[in-house]
Amino acid sequence: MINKSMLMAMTCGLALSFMSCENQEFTDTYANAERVHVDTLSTEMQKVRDYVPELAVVAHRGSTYWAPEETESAYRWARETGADYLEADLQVSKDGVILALHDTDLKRTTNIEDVFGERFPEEQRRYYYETLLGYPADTVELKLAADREAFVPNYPCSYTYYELLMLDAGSWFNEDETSLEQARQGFKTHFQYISTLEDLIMYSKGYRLQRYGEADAPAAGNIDFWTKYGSDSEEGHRVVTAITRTNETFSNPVNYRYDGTALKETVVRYTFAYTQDDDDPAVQDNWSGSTYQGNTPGIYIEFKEPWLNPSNFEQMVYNELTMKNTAHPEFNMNIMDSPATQTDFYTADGHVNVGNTNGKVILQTFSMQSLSRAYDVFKGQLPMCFLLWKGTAATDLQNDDPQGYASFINLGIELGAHYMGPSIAGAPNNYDELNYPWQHDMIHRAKMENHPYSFDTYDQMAKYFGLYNWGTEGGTRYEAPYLDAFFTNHTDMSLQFMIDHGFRTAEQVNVIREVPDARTLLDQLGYEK
Amino acid sequence: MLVAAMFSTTAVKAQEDVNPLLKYISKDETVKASIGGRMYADLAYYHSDWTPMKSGAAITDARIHAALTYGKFYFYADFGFGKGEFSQKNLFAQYTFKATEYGVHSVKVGYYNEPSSMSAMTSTYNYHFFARPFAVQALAPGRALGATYRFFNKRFFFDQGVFAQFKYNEQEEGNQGVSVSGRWLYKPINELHSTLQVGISARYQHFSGGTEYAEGVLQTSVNYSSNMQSYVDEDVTFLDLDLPWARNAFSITPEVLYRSDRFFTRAEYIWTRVWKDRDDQRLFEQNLGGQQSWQTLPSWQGGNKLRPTLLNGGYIELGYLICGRAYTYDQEYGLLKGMGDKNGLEVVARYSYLDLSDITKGDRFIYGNNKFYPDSDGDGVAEIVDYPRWSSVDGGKAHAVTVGLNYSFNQYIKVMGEYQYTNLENVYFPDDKNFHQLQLRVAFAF
Repeated sequence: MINKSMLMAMTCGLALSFMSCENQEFTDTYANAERVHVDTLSTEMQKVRDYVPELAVVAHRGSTYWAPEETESAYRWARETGADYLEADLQVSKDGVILALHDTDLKRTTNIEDVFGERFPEEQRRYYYETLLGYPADTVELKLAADREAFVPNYPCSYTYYELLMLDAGSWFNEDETSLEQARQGFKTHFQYISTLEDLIMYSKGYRLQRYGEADAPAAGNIDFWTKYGSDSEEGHRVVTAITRTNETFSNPVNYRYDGTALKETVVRYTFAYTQDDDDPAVQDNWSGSTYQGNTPGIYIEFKEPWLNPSNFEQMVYNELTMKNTAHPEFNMNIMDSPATQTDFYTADGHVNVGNTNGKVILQTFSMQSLSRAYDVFKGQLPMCFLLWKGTAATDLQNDDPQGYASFINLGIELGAHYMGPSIAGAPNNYDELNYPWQHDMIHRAKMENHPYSFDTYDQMAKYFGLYNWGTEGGTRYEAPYLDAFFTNHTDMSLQFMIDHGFRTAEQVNVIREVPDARTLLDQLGYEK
Repeated sequence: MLVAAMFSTTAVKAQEDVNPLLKYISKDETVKASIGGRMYADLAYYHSDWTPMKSGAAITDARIHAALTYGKFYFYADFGFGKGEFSQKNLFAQYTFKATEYGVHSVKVGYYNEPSSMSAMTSTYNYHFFARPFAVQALAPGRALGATYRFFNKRFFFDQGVFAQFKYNEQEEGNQGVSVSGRWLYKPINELHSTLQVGISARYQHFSGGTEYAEGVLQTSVNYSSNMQSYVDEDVTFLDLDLPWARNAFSITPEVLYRSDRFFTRAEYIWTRVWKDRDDQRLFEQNLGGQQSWQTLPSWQGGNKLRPTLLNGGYIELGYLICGRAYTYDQEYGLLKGMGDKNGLEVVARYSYLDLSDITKGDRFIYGNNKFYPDSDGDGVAEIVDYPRWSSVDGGKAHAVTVGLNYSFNQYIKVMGEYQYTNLENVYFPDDKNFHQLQLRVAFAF
């Protein structure tokens, strides 16, 4: 009996061993990507999606490569180079000025450690309350006491814009080891400020900051910002003609008192002066009298996580985009308030005109909560992008398989986004790849468009535009390019690549005419080496 | 009569699946020894909606055991090497006191199954299905190091003991501790041709030890999981729940069994509650020191919610013996025996379910980032925020219907065939709902 049983056992075991399936392939990403369910953008939202030109070039922070990011120099360079959009991150100062600034810690891109250290700026704050805003003495003491108690160093929203104006946002670029080769004395001699949203809009319209000492500038000293604290002279600093208290308030997102309550801040209005950016007619041909004929890019602005901003921040941005509280209400960027009348993305004589169309402003955020809040204010009537980052933090995508990717696309649609903004792989940043061809295809299946970030090299351009046959793992089902617009730190290289490889229409090529050499252009813009 | 019957069955096979073929019995019958083993050769075909299971063939179980009876002492040891992996199974000694007209008393020490669910106590060779039900796999205890006292007679069965978690060489970090468990039966009918028993088992488990989570803070944990009632692909990810910070668990399992010569039915329901504990004060203090820190202990606790978890499952099994002598009953362990008659043929069916899901009402899960989003304001819509504060857990919920046909050449060789449909709900497998599986087994024991 034993022999008979064992014989049967051995026979069955041998037979089964030949049938083992240990090496079977069990996942097919491409098949799964095509069968997973994705919602689709509504017809109305698709119309808004199409406000933006195809293959738009978005100048990431102006540039992080050629100039100090999100400063006047970076944005002027990007505009003159021919970017379709100037990209910026939005934050708020302690007195309600909306900033174009990436980091939540001022130490990397300013000299705050030299100016304030980590101490409460007592003297400057007192001068600001007493002299600049004219508060009564007892109110000044109360406000100073509250500010002192709630002060947290290095956060932009811990400082008034008056204090932020004292920070040099350009010199660090000349000292940072990653940008030493691009260092220019001009970034220091032309003092680079932390930009405001108003500045960004004015740059996009062909303006630059007006500075004391220039021909048409008002006399220095009407508001003494600089000589009181450090500078020998006001000459060369930006012109601020007025500082006015308003009745608008907001809760400071970071400055809390001991009892846990956020400081209630008052919005202060700064009146800045700008001038036509046309210093060297031999190089620039931006202005003909009062008529601007240069590039008018749109702006692509990012909401940070809600905890970094006031709860009514989206509404504050909505209001600021109207430009009604500035000297230039004609530059209303809020198409909900004033729809654009022009539709051509490029002018007949060859300039970027996106900033005069309904695609003039694109909103973006990594934060689901910000996306939701922005949708509450902007109602999906402004183009909006849901950015993707792989990781385990609060707003990150953890599962980048087809189902996980689809779930974020669906979330984006639900929360009012028109585009997805995935990270791309490759040096120098080596982000996670969230823009595989199947992921691009899935975004299109949802009737959304794809705005990946950030391009830094020719290799990345070639890869995502399909020159390297990348994506063929999925057979021929995915057609390059694997993007509909993209964020680049090298607007010059990206535009030249697109022209050279036929990704710009004849009309668009006519627009660009010739992509300027970055270094020459910076020289011409006044940023001497 | 009962005593005689008991000893007649346990003389050389107290733990063995079958009457051993390799055995030694001394002339005075004071020493009895046996060596035996078993092997399952399984063939399975699976079909699922999204996540594939690996169809194929495998030796899903292979065991060697040795047993020794010396007077009133009984020693048993076995190990497995199914799928090429060695694993220690049972290793225990048992002493049976003199049987009296009131019943039989015994004590047992070593590494073996804690007294619990009747399904868990039944050898898989004597089982009427390919695998134990989900609920038993996930929620019933397995083997542990301990000591038990058992008593049984015609009407009652009591088995209870104390156990430490896991054997010496298989300690799991995060899940150390002790448990107290027992199984108690009443048998209103217990005759040769029919048995009806009702009972209950219960278990209290305390977790200690843990892995280092932060400085001075050990994190305990427990895992509850089940395969899809199949062993060719015994992946447990579809029904799998990790519970960090588990401190105490209590399970209760009512059971009922009826068998006649041609028919059996049995059912169990397992209810488990897991309490958790964490050194919140120390963890809160360690988070302090930055602007982004939680500023108060209640706010920290609000952002790191912890609550007890409720789990449950159950099954009902039915069998009808078409050919063969009769279904039989194991008095010593209070269990239905396997089908081992010559040319036995039975048809069986089972409904089985498991709920490892404890999701707060209103919570919404987003697969892309593995987070639950609570409906904090109670308006019926979960709020999508960047820092959701949730306490839901989900290890999956499954319902399965199984039908099978089993044939025994004799007690040593069986052939089993089974079809199963499973319906799964698991937030981590959003597109997996329907599973179909066909299985064939040839089982040998000697």
